[in-house]
Amino acid sequence: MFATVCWLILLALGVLIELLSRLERITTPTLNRTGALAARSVVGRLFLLAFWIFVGLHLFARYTLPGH
Amino acid sequence: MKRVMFLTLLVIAYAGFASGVKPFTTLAYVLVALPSLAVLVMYSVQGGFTPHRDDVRNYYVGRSNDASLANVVPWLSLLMLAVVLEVVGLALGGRNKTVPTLSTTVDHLLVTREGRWLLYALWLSVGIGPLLRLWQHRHTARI
Repeated sequence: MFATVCWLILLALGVLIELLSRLERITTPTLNRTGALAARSVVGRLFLLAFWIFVGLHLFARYTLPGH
Repeated sequence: MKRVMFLTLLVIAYAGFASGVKPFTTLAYVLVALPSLAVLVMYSVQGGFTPHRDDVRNYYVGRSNDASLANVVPWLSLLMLAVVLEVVGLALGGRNKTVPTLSTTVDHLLVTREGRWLLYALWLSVGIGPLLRLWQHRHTARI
């Protein structure tokens, strides 16, 4: 329960940063621009794609519920 | 515009079908592998994985605008916190009720068909969206 709340806090912080960035209240770039920064190099692009594939496999082909 | 509409409908339909397939089955793996391979091939065709492609690099430099390691610190901090929480969760066995990992937390959203459908569509969009923008940029640059 404690960590679930922590995950929700992290999600809320992420949404807050994105919102403030889009409203130009902070100098932090949006998540989209941050992703583009990572994609400037071939290694970055490969890493992002590999991470995307991992998330797909992990969530949709290999998901299990605790206790099931 | 028509292409975007078509892809959006395709993503929704594909996610709708795939969200009904049971995990740990061959079909579940195939349904994840198909878009993964398609995106991988399309990025390769666009030159996304070719070293020294200035046009592709310039595209991402333009998109990232003034983003630098210095001003993405809030995102990096969030990432670090998530990694720490994930490592603690994994160290406790991954399914600890007090400290579950991120995937164990997200798994609860995957119980319902609607939740799976939504997350599947979101996952597909995250992969296809940037590819489509790169393709549109290169197509426009050629014209």
